[in-house]
Amino acid sequence: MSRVMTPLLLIVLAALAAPADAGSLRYAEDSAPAIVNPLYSTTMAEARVNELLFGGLYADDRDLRATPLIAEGATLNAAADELRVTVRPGLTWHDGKPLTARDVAFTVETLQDPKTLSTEAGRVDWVQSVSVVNDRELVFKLKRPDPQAIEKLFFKILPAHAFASRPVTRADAFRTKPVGSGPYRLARFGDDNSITFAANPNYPKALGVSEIVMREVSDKSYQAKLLLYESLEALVRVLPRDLAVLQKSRKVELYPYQTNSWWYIGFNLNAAPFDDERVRQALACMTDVPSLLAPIGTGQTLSGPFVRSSPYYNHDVPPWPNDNARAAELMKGAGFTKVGEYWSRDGQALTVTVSAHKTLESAQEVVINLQSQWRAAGVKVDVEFLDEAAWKARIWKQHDYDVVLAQWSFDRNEDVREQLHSSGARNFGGYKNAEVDALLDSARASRDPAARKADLRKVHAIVHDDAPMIFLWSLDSYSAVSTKVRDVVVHPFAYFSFVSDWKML
Amino acid sequence: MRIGHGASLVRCAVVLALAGCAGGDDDGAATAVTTALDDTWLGELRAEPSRFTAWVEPDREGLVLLQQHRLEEAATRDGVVGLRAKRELSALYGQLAGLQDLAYDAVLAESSAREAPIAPAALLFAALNQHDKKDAARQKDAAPAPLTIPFPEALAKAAEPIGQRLAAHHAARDARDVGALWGLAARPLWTEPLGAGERNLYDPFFYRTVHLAMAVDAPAEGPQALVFSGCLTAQDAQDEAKAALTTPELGCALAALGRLGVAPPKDEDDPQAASDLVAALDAVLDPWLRATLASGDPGAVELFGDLRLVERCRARWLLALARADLHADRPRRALTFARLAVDLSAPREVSPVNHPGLFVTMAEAQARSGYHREALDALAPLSLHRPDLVGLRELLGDWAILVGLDRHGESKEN
Repeated sequence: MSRVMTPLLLIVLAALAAPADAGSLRYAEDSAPAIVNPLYSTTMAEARVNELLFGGLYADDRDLRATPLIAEGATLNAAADELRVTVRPGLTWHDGKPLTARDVAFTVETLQDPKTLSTEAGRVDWVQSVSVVNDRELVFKLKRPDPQAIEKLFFKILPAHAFASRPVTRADAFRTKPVGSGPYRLARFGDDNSITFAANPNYPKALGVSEIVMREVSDKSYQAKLLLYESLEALVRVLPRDLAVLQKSRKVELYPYQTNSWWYIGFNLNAAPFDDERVRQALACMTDVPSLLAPIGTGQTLSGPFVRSSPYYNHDVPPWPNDNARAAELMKGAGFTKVGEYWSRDGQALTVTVSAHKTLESAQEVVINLQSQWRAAGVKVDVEFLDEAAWKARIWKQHDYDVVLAQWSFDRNEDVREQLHSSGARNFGGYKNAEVDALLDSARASRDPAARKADLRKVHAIVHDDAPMIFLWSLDSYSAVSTKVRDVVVHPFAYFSFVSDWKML
Repeated sequence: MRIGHGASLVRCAVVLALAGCAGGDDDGAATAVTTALDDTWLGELRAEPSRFTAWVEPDREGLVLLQQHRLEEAATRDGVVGLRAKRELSALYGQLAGLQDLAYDAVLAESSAREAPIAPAALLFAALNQHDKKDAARQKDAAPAPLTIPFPEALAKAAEPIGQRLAAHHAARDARDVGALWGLAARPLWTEPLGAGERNLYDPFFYRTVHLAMAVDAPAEGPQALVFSGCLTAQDAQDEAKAALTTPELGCALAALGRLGVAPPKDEDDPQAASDLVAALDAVLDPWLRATLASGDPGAVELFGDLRLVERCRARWLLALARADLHADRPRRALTFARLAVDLSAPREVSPVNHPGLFVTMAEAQARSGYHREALDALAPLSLHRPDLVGLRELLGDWAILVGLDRHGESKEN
């Protein structure tokens, strides 16, 4: 690494120069979580913070098997339609109050409350009702028999006493004063958007890292330098171009952190002309995906809603070709004619606004190049970069956009139902296809892996043709952690699941 | 003396500048191991880089193939290169066969535990694999050569396409020639309609056939046996050839580590112990490499900077340690060794430093540590260039799906 530091880096270093306390681990996120409440988490940064603060009845063990955490155990009745859960004795919340079965019931009922509008409601859609037997026992009535119901007890448990009533809204004060039962408790929010977490003294296990500090470093190009200059102990995601440099440093270890993530350009299908699949397909043909990818790193281009290593990826479906002649045919079919430089219909030149989240890594580079490609093909393009609040309001809630550049990350199940089903909580683009809905339902119900693969590969093919999104790429993704931190195991999705095993030198 | 890319002056300058910037706080350690490395082929080349030309001259093209891990092509050559390539192919496909065995067993066990249906054809293929595994093991115990695997007539007659394929494998193992089976392995051996698509099952014998057909007993000798290998001396290479008949996992790694004064970790499946060993190894190798590159000898810079001979050895040793850990049922430590062996300048490519076996090893370590979906990621770089891996990929996919069958899927933005 060059020893000549730019002025900007010096400023950033100065800002972060306060030495870490012994036992303090500082990690970088591109963007601080907008909300600390598991009911409303929609980003990976929020999911990682949830992992520090909250626990589920069950959690993954080091071999990723379901193991009791808040629960002491759970037993199913013979008919597999009633699940009796016992809460571990002696557990407390971060504020010292006891954690009881009532908190579990409150969490389930809050998730199920239609007025709560939680994006996580699907986690308890298998529960008919829940009843508290006593402080340590409760019974789940299942909607249908499920011999493996224990595998669904991973949702984070919330303290009933911290909420005045139900429903719990996104604006609830809990978002800034969260109380959990996880290995760390929230100590303070910093003026620089940092969040400090202190070890939970009542956690059942001794912790080897006394304090964790989340630091927002929105300029991703500086994150690796900060790690090398020991101003951070961990980077959640390393830019692909920084991998080789970090590997040469013996002060850092790199861990694969793939999270089955893919980038996409998503259309608002409720807005003309993006309700016409020919326009969407034409824009796909105007897009030179490898050229968009090249400046930001190494990865694999995609033709559908799975990463290439997924068992569901349909390798028979090629990505849309970058073919302006084909794009022209599609645009003409949709009623557009070329007037001057631009495609026009009804006297109006096609104008597209591309919206991207401010902190999506390298998004600016991609959007600018996309603007250039589409302009060259005859489309006027405006761009906008939205902060978290505007993104949630404009894209998720009001659906007030043309096209987004964004990224989805999935756990090992790669369940795209929420994104592609007409009733999906994350389907803000408004995609509807009855055959896809049926295939997604069939895939979820199927217990034969081959049948599930067949269904989802068919979904891949249909969604590629319908083009509600232009599927772009998955990036090679690694996390970097200082060698001062020992016994590091990174959970493949939630990252901090095993943080209680980590130790600082 | 040129293999692969030549070194430009600019690149040399950059390498030297980086070496200079990196500081020299470990130079004492470098001095301590200089003697040990001087007695190896790496030390010989550092002292006299021009020797490399003489060493590779008998089969320069073949050694380029070995350097790039183009093993099938290298295996067609005569002499030392052909022997080494066959041995490496045999080991690679032995690892693939082992991973396939693991996946077949796991898919059956998980299906049963989760009350998931098992199609009769899938059950038949698992049984065929199980039979072949046992038969091959019996044969190996009885006599290393000649390799003749008798297939039971009853199974051979179970279905015409399978019977024909069994016969082809029998012939290939007898003749030690995989021939047309390379192409066939990438296509389904059995297809049946299934919902929105079809169920495809792939040849369960192929990996084991390549493993057996490419096995060689003859030792490779001379400098060509050492270049691009993980063995530091001729004696180590001879010991490895003998060991390969019984415990091929460690290869020359233990001998090499011993020469460098790095002690292997204790018998616990502790990932941190693997990290510590690698840190100790790097503390020995880094200063030696820096000093070599700083020597200014263009030949040394080309060999150790461009061809990355030291990094290649390091990766081979870590891969061997990972294999040994898998053999001893220490998958977490194996995963750490494999992870630290990957050259992240091209993390998803087989490259001079990234041996194809590294990706299989990482996939097996992931799968055995409970990271079944991640095993598919690990195997992906190898799948790009080996269409015959499709069957293993499908099997690992089934395993990953089964273990997540009852979980609620989670997705987030960014």
